[in-house]
Amino acid sequence: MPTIQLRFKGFRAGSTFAVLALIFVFSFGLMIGLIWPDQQRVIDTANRLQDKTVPEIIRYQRLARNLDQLRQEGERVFSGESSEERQQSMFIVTLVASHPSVLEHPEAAKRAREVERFLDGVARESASNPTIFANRIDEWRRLSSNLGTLVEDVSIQGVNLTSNDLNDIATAIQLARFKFNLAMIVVGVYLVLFLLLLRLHLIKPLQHIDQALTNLGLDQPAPDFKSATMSEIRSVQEAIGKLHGSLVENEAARQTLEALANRDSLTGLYNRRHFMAAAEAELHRSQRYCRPVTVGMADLDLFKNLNDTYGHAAGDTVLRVFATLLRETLRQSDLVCRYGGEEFAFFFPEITVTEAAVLAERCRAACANNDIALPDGRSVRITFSMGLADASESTLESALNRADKALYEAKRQGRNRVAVSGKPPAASVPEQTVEDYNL
Amino acid sequence: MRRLSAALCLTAILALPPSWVLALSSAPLKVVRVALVKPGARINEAHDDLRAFNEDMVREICQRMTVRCRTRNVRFGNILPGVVAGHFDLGFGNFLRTPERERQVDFSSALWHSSSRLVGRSEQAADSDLYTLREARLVAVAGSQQLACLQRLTGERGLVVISAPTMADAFALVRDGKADFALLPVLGAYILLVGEPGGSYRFFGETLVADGLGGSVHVIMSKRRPKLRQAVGKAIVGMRRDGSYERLVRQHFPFSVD
Repeated sequence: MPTIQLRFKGFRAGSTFAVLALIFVFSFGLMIGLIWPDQQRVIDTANRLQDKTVPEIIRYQRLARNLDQLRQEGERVFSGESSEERQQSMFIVTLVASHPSVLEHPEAAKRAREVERFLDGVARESASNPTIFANRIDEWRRLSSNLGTLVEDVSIQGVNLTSNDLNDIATAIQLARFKFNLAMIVVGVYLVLFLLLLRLHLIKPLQHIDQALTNLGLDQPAPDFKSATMSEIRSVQEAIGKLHGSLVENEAARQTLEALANRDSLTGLYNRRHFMAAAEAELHRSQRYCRPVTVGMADLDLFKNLNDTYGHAAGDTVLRVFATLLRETLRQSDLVCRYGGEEFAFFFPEITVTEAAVLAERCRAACANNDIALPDGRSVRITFSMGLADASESTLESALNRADKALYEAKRQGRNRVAVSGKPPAASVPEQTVEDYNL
Repeated sequence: MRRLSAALCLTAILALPPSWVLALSSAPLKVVRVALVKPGARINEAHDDLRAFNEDMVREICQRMTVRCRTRNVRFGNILPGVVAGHFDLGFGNFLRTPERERQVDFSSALWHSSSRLVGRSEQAADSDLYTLREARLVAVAGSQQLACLQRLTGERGLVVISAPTMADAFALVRDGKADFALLPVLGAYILLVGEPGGSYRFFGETLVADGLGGSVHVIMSKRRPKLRQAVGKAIVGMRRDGSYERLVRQHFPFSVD
């Protein structure tokens, strides 16, 4: 049954920030939506104040003024010195009591009608009874007092209309201010949260990436990133990991290619080209510091017969085994290469010819005593001859020539032995015989 | 080049309508034709005050509208038809706002408020009231709401309705005994009564506001002049705001008509 692997690949930065922006817009829009009714309430109340309340206040003021005039004209009816004067005031009383502004207000209309009737009755009766004003003055004072109280009430009612609207506006403004402050807090918290998220999920990972890229190299381990939340950051981190892996792989490939270019494919020993280059460099170093150095040439004895007898596959096996034996016997610092066919070249740094001869002899003995298993099941034992020469005061080529001559001498003396070349001609050192070192 | 520019300008000016050319050349004040209610024969000083009040009101509003008003005194009944016919731009006749009138003309914002009452000789029964009167002769101004109201009552309770061209004429009919009562706007009635000998005349019955007999009083104008209506409204609001309206009223009357 196939299994499905769910792997969290992180959030895409664009989508994430779009979502955050949407949340912000929604939150802020919500706040504005909450504030908007209060703003509208203030506007509506202000409009109402201007369009309705103020005219209403004016209407109340007009009513209060008319009622007060009604009272004053009533006083004049009582205090008038002539009937014409009283008539004039009575007309104004009628006029004011008939005014629509008075009639619109039930209480005022009732009082005005009461006053008008009272004064009209008094005025008509005064023609036959001049003392009526004195007789009914108390009644008028009561009516006048009631009218005065009504004037005050009406004035206060008008003022209260303004108070109601202003209180309404103040309440709406306070509510709007509270909501606005709340909106600002929400925006502030959102911004802080946004900056924290930005630092945590974008800035810090980018800083880590910058540091990793700065330190990226073969000598450094692969960068170890904490798993990022943003998919883009995660991709960059993975790319850096792959880049480091590629560097390592390229280096390994380079080393492999270098090995292939420098070594003999059959024996795994250095090839002649690399040997010559490495030996040349080492020889210069040794000669610069006056250190002893020895070169050698070796050749497997009767290798042609072995090939003819056992076949080339056996010859290849013998060569491989011989190379292994050399690697195991010689020092790490010694250079050895397959010089050609069954011929090998050696470079022994930091040792004299005598010491090298000891080393070579140990190698010769190990080879001579070693049975080599062939692919067909048989086994053979081989020997080699070797010539050594001091290279501390000559060129590599010259030293190798002398070693080759010593090898030839070793072959001539009967093979399976190490021969040492004498000093170079310039040094005029007498050449030692092979037998001296045939241990 | 200059000659070419001058020629182009001249051509452009000649292409304009004559009124535009006039406006560009001197920008004179627009002329507004105003119909002012004819007060009728002089009765008393207060009557002159009413005439002066109306004239001052026209002058103040025209000044605020920055127009030159050409006034003409016409009978109340001729104002509204004149405005509808386009003979007048504005009608100052203290018009009550009624649905029927609203169908014919536009109204300004309220100038003041009015109601109606019966006026008659003092010897008439004290409890006389429009809706209880019987066998009486009633007079009102032609074209007024009062006359329209009376005409609806014609024939009922033996009432006889008489039409008069002006308020002064209506009152004269009462004074001459040719009518028992006049149904008049209270302010107009006051103006007429105030100069009469004490106790000769008085108001009767309840104050009448319903049936279009009371309410706000307006300037009327053609329905085709919305900008003029706005300008008049703005002038009235301005008068109220800076107190000039109240000063104008107090200048002519010992009470507030607002």
